[in-house]
Amino acid sequence: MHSPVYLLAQAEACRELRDLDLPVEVISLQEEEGRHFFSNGDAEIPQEKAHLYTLCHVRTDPQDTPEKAWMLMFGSAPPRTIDFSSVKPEKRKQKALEAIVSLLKEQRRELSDRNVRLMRELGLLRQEHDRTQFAAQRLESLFYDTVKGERQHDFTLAPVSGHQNLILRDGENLEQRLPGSSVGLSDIALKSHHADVDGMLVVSLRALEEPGLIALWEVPGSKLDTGWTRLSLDRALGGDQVSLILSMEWRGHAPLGLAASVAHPDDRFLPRLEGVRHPAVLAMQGWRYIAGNEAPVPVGAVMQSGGMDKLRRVDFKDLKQALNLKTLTADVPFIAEDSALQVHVLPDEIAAAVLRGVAVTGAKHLYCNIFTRHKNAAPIEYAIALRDRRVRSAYPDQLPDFAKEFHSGWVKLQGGEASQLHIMLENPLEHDCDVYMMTRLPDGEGSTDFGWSCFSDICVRF
Amino acid sequence: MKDNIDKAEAPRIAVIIPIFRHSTLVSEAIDSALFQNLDFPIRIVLVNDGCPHLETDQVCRDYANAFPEKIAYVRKPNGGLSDARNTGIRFALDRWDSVDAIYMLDADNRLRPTALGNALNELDAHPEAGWIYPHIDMFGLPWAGDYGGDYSLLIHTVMNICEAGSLIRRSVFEAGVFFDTEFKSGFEDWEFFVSAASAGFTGRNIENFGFLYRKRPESMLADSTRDESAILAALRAKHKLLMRPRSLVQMEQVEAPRYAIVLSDCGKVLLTTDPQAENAQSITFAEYERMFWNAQISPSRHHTPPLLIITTESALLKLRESKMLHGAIWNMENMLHAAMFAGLNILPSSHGRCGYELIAPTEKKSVRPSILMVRHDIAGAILRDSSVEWAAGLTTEPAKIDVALLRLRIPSTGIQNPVPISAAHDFVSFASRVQASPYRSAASQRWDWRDKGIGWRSRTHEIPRVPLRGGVAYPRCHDGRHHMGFALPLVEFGGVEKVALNIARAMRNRGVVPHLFVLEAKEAVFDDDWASVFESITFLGDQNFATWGGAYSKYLGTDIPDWATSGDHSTALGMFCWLDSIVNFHGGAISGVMGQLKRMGIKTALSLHLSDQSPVGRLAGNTYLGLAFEHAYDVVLPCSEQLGDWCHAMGIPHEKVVPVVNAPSFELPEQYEGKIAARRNNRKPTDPLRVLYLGRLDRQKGLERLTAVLQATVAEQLPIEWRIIGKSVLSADVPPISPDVLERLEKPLTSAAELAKAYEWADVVILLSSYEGLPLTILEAMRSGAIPLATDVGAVAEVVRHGENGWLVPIETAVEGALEILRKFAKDAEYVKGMSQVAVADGTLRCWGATTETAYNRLVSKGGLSVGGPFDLTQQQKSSG
Repeated sequence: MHSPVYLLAQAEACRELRDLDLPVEVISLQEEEGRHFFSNGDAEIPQEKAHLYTLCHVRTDPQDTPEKAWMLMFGSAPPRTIDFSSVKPEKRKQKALEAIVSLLKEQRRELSDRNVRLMRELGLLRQEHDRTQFAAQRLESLFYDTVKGERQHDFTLAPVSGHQNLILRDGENLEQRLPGSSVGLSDIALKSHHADVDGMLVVSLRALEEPGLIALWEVPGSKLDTGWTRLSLDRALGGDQVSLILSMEWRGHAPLGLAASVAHPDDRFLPRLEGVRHPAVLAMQGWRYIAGNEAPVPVGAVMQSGGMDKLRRVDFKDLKQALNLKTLTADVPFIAEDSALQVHVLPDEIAAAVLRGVAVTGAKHLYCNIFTRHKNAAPIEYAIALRDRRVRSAYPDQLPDFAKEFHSGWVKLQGGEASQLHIMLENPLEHDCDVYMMTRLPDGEGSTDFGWSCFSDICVRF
Repeated sequence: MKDNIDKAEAPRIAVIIPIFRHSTLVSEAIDSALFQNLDFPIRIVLVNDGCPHLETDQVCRDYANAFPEKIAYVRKPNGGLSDARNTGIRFALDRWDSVDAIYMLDADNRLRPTALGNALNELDAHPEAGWIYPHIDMFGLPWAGDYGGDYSLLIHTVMNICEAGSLIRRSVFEAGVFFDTEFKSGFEDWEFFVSAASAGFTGRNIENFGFLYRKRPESMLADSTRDESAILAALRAKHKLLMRPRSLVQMEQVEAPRYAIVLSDCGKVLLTTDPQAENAQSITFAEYERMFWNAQISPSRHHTPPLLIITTESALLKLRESKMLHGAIWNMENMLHAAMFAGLNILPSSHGRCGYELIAPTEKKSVRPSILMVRHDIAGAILRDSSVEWAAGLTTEPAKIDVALLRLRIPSTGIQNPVPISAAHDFVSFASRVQASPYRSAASQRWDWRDKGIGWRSRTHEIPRVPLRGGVAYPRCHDGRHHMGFALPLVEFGGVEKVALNIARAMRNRGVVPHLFVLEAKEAVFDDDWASVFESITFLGDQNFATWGGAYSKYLGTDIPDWATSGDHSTALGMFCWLDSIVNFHGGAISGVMGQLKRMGIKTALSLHLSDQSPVGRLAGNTYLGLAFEHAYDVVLPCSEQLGDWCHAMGIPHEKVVPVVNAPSFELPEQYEGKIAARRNNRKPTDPLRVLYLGRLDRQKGLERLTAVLQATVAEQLPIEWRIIGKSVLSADVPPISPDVLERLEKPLTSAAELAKAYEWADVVILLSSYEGLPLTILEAMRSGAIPLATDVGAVAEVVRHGENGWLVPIETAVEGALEILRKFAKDAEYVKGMSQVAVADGTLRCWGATTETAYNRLVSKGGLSVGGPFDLTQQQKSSG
């Protein structure tokens, strides 16, 4: 849109000024029955436009003083006055053009000053930003070096036996508002029943207050066997508080059952299946992490579509479920203060604990921390190994043979020492594998006293 | 001036951004408005409110130049935030006819990209809404407040629930509602939305508005918080009608009923403030459960009646029939100040009387209430508890839990069938049910992430208490009729009470609804006669109130009761606040609340009867107290012209003095005039003269003079038959009564028939009082043809024309004078007959209908509250009805 430039003059002088054929529009400020208004001779000019676009005031008569009216209307002084009262008529055009050019030059200079100042401020902000980035980077490193990247369990809306499951048929949609704050939300779990292995549950997360999707999960039916299915975000939601809505669409021949939790009196929190409210809230769990930050994804979780699925970590909860190879029961001691599993070394045989299926399809690199907790312990050897979960023995005390590329090799640690074990695969895993964590005494060592041999931070990289 | 623009470019929303001293931050506000996800055009109006920062002008010019098709820049002299907003609003309305709504965006706040779209969708979907308002999600100092739930004007009167950043429908402004430029220190938005509500518009909250409020420790709102009391006073002054208690109770009834009345005998719950209101909502127990748990989970968003009442429909009906329903419920709510539970026992009383007794909660007793009221926090705690074990302590004998008990005695005719006394057991049973609710589990999880924004939602019953200084607002809604209160310290058979009854009856005949308030006595006459006139009776129940209590100060020698000047008036204010008018009948200290009631818009009147006398004959009493509180009354109603003159002479403006001159206190039974005429005409000259004294036996009535006259007539063996009817009311004031009087003493008469018969019997009615007003006895006697023989005191001469329709004797020579005329009457039957005929003629001239006409006009017709302002919900009800 073209922005005009106005030159303000007394009404009587307008004709003369227009005859000068200046590259601006000449307007006058007039008064009628106490009301002030601007006119270009043909029509009234809106006040706010006159205020915005008037370049200068041209005085041809010493009595022409628009200051008072201008102040009354706008609360500010009028634009600069160019005094024509003593300029000869034949010189007026030249004088006017000179004045216009002078004012525009002045404005251009002011604009340049302002731009320079803003650029300088941007520069200062940039430097500040660099310093902040550097500090944040160091803080981040410190954080990852010292803090366990564990997503914290936040809430459970447990299934309530008296409430009927929500049954999703092919193509049906279900919407559930999430409880509590969005800040730091990292994972949501749903509890399902009887999924069609060929089906697909499409889950999306959005905010009431913002447009667009926050995350999308495509969960194959095969992942929806009876139990909890954990849906992970690669990065916990940021500090902007919003109200979250989880939408689900089921695509499968057989219906999908989703467990229901408590009844809720407020309609806003009741799930809506095809727009019809169900009296009880969906059974759900939620986890949080530091708002806006990435954390390793739990190994069994479903990653959001397009998520940066680079690193997964075995949750403490899963670590506690490790089987003792000798008994095939979950009785391996969990050392809470170190968040570690203690696979106590045994005399004359290999001690092993098994984490079921945590080396998931697609993994290329598995690693964990190892350490012997007591400095008086004898040297202990540690290893980890992978084996296809489908061929796991049903009997206790059956240590399988491991393919060489699926074995970390034995690493010996002195009492009180710590290290890491790695399995680097040439090709990504084609099946989910169990992880075996093993310890033994080196040849010639006989004492298992203080053999507090531990594994922690079992991570899978893709 | 209109913009000529294509229809496709016609804006639906104008965003007004007033700017003053936010020259830098404003760019965030402008950008957030510019980059909205919308499928319709909008316009942004930048209003530079004379900001002294040149940068503000520059930034606005830059934006206006960069987006000339979207942004208008209006520069104006500084006039304050309201003025700047109004300038922008008027500019937009004038410029763009297509604008359906105006959005107010302060220069330091921001919007999420979908804010305006979400808000306009809501406005389109809800044509009843005048504006859409957001939650308050703060940044800077982060905090999020939940302002959700139904819009409540009631709550809006005590807190600002609508942020200025609301989308406001064009019609609100077209109705003349703008920001008040007098509010320069803050709360402009509060005042604006209250004005909009006063004009009949309503607000609506949406969860997903997307409004972001910049909160800094020092902000304008912080200034307004500092000046809060002054601004609130201005707000309340401007919206006086809206914020008076009776309007608040009216709103409470509609928006946030105070009581959940669980009727255990019919399985339903009434949600109401007025237990007799026709618009009380009736819900099932299951619906109440849901309501209760909703309020437990989100108390800021969901309302549930804060007070729980457990009773039966039959108990309510009984109270209603006794005309004590509202008063009893109000008394019980008052008792919750000092107790967790209030119980009500309904007991029979001797015929024609009612009364009450308050039993303190600490007394161990058997409760067995017919009605149980539970304080809101206790009800919540019990119903949320995992067991009813503690609550079951209500049902033991004695109760293990402290319960304040109101023992209400109602006329026995009102208790034909026994009223159930199972409220305590019913409460335990009800609590068990609510506790077992499936919603209970949901209460253990946090669902909303925003904090409670509307703390008042869970204690709405306290809102009408705000202007009452904490007093409980009487739970009665207005119904379009004129409700007049009659306040009396006691209700027995005294003259003042009879006058009150007759004025009330006359007012009732004109369509007024009279209500009786007993200020000090715990028992009162409320026989069929009273019950037929008054729609309700309420006992004040304020243990600190005394009609003539301790007095630190005096006015013209009369005690000014301390209660009147420095007592806690909250209870009395709560009791009267809903009325249209109130008449004080010698209520002493109650004058202390009249000024406050007057300021609430209630017409106040003082009915005066006579000046009391001190033991040395100095005038004192209610007349002088009336002078002390003259400013608190709209009108003063003396019972005689003479007392009216006295009031004026003592300084009460003439216009305020409206005499309601006494008339006979009861209607003669049908066809009684003929009976009287026959009795007078058939009296034989030989018949003995019948002399009647009818009244209290106390010092004022000149008992010693009466005794002397009686004894003298007996001694002289004059042919006179005496009857003396009455009893002492003021026991401390009773002089020794002679055996001559005692042997003739008959018990007081109360019914019209008995009184008519007594007056018919008498030839002469004698009244030798030390001081009087305008005695009803004289008027009633004359109407029946009995000749008044009275001392010339008070306004007696206003009625008795000496030697024509009666006989006046100077008080100094009263005994001699009375004896002299009695001797004449005893001898001269024709003289008696002639004077009796004149007395009848004069006595029948007076009637209450005529004498109350001016008072009615002053209290009701001219400026009565029922023709109140735009927020008189009564008027809305009337028009909709």
